[in-house]
Amino acid sequence: EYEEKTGQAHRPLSPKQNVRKNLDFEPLSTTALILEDRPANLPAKPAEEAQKHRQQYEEMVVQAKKRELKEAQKRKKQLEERCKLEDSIGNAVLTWNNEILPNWETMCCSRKVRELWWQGIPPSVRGKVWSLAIGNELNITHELYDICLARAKEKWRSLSTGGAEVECEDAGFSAADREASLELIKLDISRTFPNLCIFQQGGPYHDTLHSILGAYTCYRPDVGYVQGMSFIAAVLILNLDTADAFIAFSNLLNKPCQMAFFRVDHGLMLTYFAAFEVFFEENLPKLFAHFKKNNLTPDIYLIDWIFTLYSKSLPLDLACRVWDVFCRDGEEFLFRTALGILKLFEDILTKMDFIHIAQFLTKLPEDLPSEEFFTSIAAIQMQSRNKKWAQVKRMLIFDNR
Amino acid sequence: AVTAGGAGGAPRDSPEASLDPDHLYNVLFIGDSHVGKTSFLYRLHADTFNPHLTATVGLDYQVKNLVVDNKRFALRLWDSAGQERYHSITKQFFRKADGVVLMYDITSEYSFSDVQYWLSCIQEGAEDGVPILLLGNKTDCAAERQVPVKEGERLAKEHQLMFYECSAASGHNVSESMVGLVRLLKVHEDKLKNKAEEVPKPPQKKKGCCW
Repeated sequence: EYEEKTGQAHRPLSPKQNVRKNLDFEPLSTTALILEDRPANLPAKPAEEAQKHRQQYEEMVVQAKKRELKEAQKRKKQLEERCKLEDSIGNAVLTWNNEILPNWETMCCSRKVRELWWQGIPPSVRGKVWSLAIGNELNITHELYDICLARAKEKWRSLSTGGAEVECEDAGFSAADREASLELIKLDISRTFPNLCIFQQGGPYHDTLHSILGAYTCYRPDVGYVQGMSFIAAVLILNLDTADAFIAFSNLLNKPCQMAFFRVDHGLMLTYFAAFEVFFEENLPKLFAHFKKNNLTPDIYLIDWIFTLYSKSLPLDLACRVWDVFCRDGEEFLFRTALGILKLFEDILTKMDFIHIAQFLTKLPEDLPSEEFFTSIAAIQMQSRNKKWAQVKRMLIFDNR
Repeated sequence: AVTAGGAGGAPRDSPEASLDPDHLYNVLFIGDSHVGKTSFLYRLHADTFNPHLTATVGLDYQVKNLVVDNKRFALRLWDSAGQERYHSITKQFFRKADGVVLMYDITSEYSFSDVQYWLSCIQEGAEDGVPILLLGNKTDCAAERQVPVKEGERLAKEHQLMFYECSAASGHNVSESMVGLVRLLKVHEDKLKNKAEEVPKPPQKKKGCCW
């Protein structure tokens, strides 16, 4: 055998050829080297060693094949999962359209629907579901929207022509504040989801966003325009027609939590923060203690999250899923989401000091894993000593009085 | 001498600077909406201009480490929302500020006239004598300038503020103004320390009997 080997080595190229013949696929050049005989000027490999090397090499090839097979299986599985997901979205669309939406009143609270709801509403029916869930307590009609919009346009005209005769029916805020807020809407529109490039000047939804925000300041001059609103309106515009978006927008902002925040009612905001802290301590006692020790009050991160309903701080698709369940469960879900975020990042946060926590929470990582994120929210119990969110809040409001 | 970020260069975060700073200051950024507070902080942090920044809601936070005069400084920068409605939220943070950056936009007379309002907020809410840096932003938009440099200088002199004009877009005077502020904060801190050492007990006693 040894003779044979050394004999072969004298013929150029033969070892390689030999190797290639025996193997049914091309080895990488580095692994092939293992099978090369030593150069002629060095003593030849002992047969034993050559055998060992061949064996090792074959093992490597087997491993590599296994790995490749595994990868292929994984890819296949991913593809299957994607198909399954697409199928399930397709099925969900059918269920929503054919079964749930026509029987909204009777079905919306059923367990089956609630479960389907948690999975995320398919984008094609999302707007409809949001509209129904938010409701129209204020009885706003499309005509009322047109009237408010016409009034807003009048104001803009009188502002741009320098006419000082701005109607003075607006209660509570100075004329300067109102003018500034109309001006501010213009500036803020281009700063709303700037990466999407659809709300900027010249973008397809620029005027729509402008109209809805302007109409709202005429509809609710006592609230006016507050920074953060442009994000809420934008998310609605992405899912609803203009007038319906306005109706949902006005009704959404009319909810107690949103009213408290957008009117910057400090007393009420503090009540919300206090209620949040009750559940924070209950669910994440260690992190709660760490935050307390660092003087990290909830206002520092909650203000941004609540004002924009997470649309600014979470990736848009995740934010929409949070909105889905927010429409189902109401304000408590906003605070449950906050606790879900804190839980998801608990390990990192416990190692940070005040300013780094604040920095982290106001600039959440962009690649938030959606399934882990919702698992983390699901793990949050909105029950504290047998008391639910609404009860805790009510007690705190009572205490404040 | 300025170790990091001498004339012109942006001060970089060196690992030494972030470890165990010699001094730590809370700095609050205020000023009208859209004058460029967040852009300024972005420039300071990433040394580029980001035209796609969103409006600040409530407060944002950032840490900046600097080495100035061979000392390590950690700045906790508090970025606030400019809209009037949010002022009551911002005001709660005035007391915690060791220094204030008051920004206006040189292309907006309106934002400059509001500086007076902001100064009264500082007077009301912050510690007496808190170091203030007045910043006129957007020098890159020279063609649209509405507020002459002289006006800014005059106002700064009148109220004894440190003053710079800068541009978050071009980077002009961004690090320089921060280094200036750090020096001012250091001087102020030393002054406070000296004061505390000079008259160690009487003020506390006085407080005690007043209460």
